[in-house]
Amino acid sequence: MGAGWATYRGADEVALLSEEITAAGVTELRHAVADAARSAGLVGHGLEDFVLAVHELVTNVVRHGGGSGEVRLWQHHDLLTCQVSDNGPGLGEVDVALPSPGEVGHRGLWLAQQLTERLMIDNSGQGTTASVTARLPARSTVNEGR
Amino acid sequence: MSTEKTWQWHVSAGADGRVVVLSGEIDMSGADRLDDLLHEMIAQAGTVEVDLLGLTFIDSTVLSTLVGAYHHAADRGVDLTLVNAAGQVRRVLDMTGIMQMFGRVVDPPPAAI
Repeated sequence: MGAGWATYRGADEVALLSEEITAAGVTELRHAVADAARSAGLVGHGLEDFVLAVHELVTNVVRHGGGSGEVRLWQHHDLLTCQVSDNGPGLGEVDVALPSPGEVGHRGLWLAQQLTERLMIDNSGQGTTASVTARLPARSTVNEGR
Repeated sequence: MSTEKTWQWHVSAGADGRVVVLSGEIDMSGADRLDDLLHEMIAQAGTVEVDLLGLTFIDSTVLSTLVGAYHHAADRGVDLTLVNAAGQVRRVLDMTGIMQMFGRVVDPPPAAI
């Protein structure tokens, strides 16, 4: 667990989803993340972008991260964070640069970074833990969790 | 468990052209099937148009499939084009430069029938 997100684990953090990752359940998991993020208030492009970013991290787990892992989604004030972890061999060198249009592959992490406020990757321990964070649009009336 | 079917395709065949119409959501579980489909079409015709209007989700594995098919078509002198990309699909194709690589497409595509 990286220090980056450990610092803002607090009492006002609301857990929204916790799911196992399996190769056969990738699509179903994406729909569950979309439903939970929508319920939290993410809409439109922001919702689509966040869902694709999470999906790319999940896809990495299935293809390169040993095939199984865990997804956790939580809300902290107006920030929605999804953490994707596995016990695989690790990513080794992490490269999030955009490949040229003609190159096959290697766009997943770039998309995850590009489509969210923040992408964090920690492969210092066993396996890899990656998280993406989106900012929820301001709601007109409710101010939950306070 | 077999993966749930989340996308559909159908093909209309002309004298030397194929139009492949895709709809639904394609992710890593469908990328291989899409790859097979595009290769079949490229083997059969001089022009292959891939209509993306009904597609609502693609991921990086689908981007890789499209880029691979682009090279495969170019090697065989087949004209492979993407038309009617919208929403998330269009944004992802644009931001990665893949739409530009395929060549500028008119939106909506010219009625060439």
